[in-house]
Amino acid sequence: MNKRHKQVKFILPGFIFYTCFIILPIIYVFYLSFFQWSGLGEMKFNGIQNFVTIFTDERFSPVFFNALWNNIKYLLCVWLIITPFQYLMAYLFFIKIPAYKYLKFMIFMPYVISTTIISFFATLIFNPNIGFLNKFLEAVGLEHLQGAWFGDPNWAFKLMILLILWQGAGSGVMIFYSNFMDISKDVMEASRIDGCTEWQRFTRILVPLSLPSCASVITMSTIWALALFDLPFILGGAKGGVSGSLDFVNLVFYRYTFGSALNGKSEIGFGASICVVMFAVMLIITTIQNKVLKKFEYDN
Amino acid sequence: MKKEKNTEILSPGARVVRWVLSIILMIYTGITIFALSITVMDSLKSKGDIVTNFVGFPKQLTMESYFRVLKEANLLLYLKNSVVLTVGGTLGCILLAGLTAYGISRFDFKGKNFLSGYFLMGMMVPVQVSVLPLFLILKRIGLLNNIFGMMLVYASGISMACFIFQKFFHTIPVALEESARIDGAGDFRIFFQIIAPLCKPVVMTVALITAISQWNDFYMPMVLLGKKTSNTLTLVIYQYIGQFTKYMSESMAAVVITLIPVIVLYFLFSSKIVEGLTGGAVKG
Amino acid sequence: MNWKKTVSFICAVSVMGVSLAGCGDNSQSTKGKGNADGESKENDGGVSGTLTIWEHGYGFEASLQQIIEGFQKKYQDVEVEYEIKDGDNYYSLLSTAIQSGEGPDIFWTNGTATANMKDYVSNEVCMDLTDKVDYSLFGEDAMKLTEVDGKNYSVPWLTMDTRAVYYNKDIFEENGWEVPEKFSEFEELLEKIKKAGYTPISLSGVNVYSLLFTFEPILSAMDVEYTKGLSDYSVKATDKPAADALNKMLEWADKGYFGDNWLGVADNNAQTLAFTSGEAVMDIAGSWEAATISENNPDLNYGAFEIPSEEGIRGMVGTPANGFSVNTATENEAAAVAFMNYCASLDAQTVWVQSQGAVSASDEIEASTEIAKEISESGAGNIYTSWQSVLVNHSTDGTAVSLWDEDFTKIFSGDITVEEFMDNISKVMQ
Repeated sequence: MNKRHKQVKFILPGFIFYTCFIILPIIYVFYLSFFQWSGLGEMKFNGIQNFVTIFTDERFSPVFFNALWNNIKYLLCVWLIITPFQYLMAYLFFIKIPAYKYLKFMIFMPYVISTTIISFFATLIFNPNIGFLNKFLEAVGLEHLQGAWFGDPNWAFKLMILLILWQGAGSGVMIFYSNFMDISKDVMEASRIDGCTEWQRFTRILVPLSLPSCASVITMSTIWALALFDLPFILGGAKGGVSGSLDFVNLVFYRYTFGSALNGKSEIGFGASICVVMFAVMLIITTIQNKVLKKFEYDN
Repeated sequence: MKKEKNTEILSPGARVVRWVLSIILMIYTGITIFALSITVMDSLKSKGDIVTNFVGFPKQLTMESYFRVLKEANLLLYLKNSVVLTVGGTLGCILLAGLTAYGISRFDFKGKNFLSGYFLMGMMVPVQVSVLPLFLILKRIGLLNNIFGMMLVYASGISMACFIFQKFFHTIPVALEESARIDGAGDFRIFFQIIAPLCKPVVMTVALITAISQWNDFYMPMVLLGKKTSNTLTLVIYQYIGQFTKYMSESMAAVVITLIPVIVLYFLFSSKIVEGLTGGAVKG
Repeated sequence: MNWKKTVSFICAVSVMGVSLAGCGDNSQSTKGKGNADGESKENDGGVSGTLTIWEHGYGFEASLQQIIEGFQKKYQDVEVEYEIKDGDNYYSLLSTAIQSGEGPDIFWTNGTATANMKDYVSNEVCMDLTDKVDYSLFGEDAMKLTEVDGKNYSVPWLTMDTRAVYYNKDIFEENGWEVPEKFSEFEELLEKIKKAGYTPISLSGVNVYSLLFTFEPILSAMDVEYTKGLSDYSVKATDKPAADALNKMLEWADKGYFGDNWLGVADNNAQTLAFTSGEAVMDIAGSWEAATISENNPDLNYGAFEIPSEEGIRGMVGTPANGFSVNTATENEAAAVAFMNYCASLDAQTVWVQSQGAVSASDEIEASTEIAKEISESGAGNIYTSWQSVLVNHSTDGTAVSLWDEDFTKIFSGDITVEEFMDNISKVMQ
């Protein structure tokens, strides 16, 4: 047995299945991106015309770049708000703050409620006609504060972040938490005996030790951020909210692929090319990010 | 024997901070409780009641909407399909991801980084478009409208699990394997008997998240399991949630019904997540 | 290096294996089916076999089940399976399946109301049913939906897909309001409702179709002659009356007739809920929404009317609905055509219209709900062509409807003006 090829037998089963069911479809999407094709009939080879349209078309490219900008804005929020929030939550559960079992369950819970119901609650709270936020404001005499909420470009994005913080943060908290659980308790124990304060233990021991495994959460949150679809779709509709305030690239992809927005019929080829561009963006950002995260990893 | 961590001595200041944080969070979870209790209460309201009285207590308790949702003749079949699919899909996914991640992170070879990125790509294309070729592939191999085919697709979606595992395996000391290898243990034995038990918290967490997303998924089953006999519970129930305005109380009942197994799942797994801690402490 | 080769080799083999296995599997399964079919055919001498049907929404499932039941009473040997593919990518999925030769035998399309069926016809995917199906039941409006280049490719459903103003009868009575007889009365009514502290009309400001289904009835009420002209394209879609109607809506929005902050009404669900919960007094929406409203709140006492013109003329904007087409690649043409003929029968049409709770588009079929009857009475037999369908059918390059789709909401959020919108559309109209 060749010792050098030991990894093959571990990787191969996953590789085969993954390639057949996940990568093949993606290759097909790449292939489609060079065609003008509605899904039926002749596939017209289009060269890079689809990509030229994305970047230069005077109607389409502003829509695309607005959506991309929203994605980037959201990504920044993920890095600066959502991930730290998740990390902090996980830490609090790790140090077993009072009632942590209950809190852990409750923080995770919204993650399992289907997004349709989330949209119902959003309607219930934020709908300007029937939502009770506006009603409440009216009741306490603050009518001038009433707003269109998700229909108001100034509010929509911020509210969405809050909603995601509530609904989507659970899985990240759980992964951070389970990573903490694997940090050797001896180290933590020893640090206490050495008289470290809680703050010191957090910054000097927990953070460095958990960084490598936390890098995976950050990488994936980044990809998810760039692939955001569900919540903006139900909160602002397929059109990306008022004045494109809730428009994200995947929404653009969705309505240009299935919603007949480009030339009156579904345009799978063009939609595929949007996916490909986004794929490239994700690849670039994750690669850079990985390089940065690696630095931290090898430092300790 | 469990070591209680709470026995550690805290300064009074730290204790107060912890209580304050805990109370803030409890208030915060009030949102979730509120949402959940509205869901449960609304599922017990009559149709006219729910519309004019979203938030309040039901005027009259009725199980009608549960009966309507559960009247489906083949409910047990759908439930079985859902369970088989979720269990099979999750097990397959975790197993494949675990092996793959171990192979990538524990052995040195050329193209390692590329492979690591390769397995991440699966998350980068929206499912709405990749489902079209997937439809064709499954049709070709005769597994369309087949639970097993859907299970294969779920099991192959290893991107997230594989990536998390990889990073995690990095943190396990190599010495553990070396000593086992000297004892004459084979590669797979090392993986299953030494590495896997160490990773319990992470494995269980990822399994939980995977299982929940598979259980809740209605989109892929709708496309790939169209035939009535291969429907899943979530898909059948989605018919109500999908026409939400029309079936408001039924939707609420449907949500409660799908929530129950998920909550059971959570408690099943979360005890394992803590268990892993004591399991992991054995090393050394 | 070596592992790379191994991996790529195994990968290639597995891919080939998968596709080969697929071929084998495929031919086997079809053969098996064929044999079974053949045998039963010989025994019965009638129509038999298996049919697969694709429908596009769960809302139609119950009706489809009834149709299949009725069909199977006549043709006991035909097995009918259906799959519901709910959601926006119905057509993409259907195309994918058909393209790969794995399409259903029978599938739903919008007919000529959207470009999809024409596309299918030009790709020879839809079977020409002109001489195979008895179309005697259908009027000109319904037949228009099925017709491409003089041939018929689908069987319509005689549900009248129109738009109507739903109003809360209880609130009307409490305040002594009457259903308006003239357009100016309608406007006055809006003002009164607003003053009484209600939202006059529930409307989603970000959903193109919600906006359209409100816009079209207002347009038809503001200029009857113009709306009539749309049917033979003797007027242009971008003419002044259309712009006037849009400006009227903007004016109403400013006056708060759609509620303050109405741009925050995220979708059609939220729009309907405001009406069913009694917050809004009226809701202008599709006639098919009646089933949803009644189901959502059975206690709601509501009625429906069409907006009258200043001369008191009312009418309905819309057409019958389209139904199924047959896949040219079907292996069971006899059964498929039999099914289509059953769909075209008065029995099946009656079942469909009544189970949908829809407005009937035929004198021979009685609607099953009071509200549906109320809508068709109010419409008084005047049928107008939908403004949006003109965009579909009279665009030079087919892009008019997509321009509308992208830009219609922007008018109301103030991102573009009505003039800009109309200018853009007129550039791509005949």
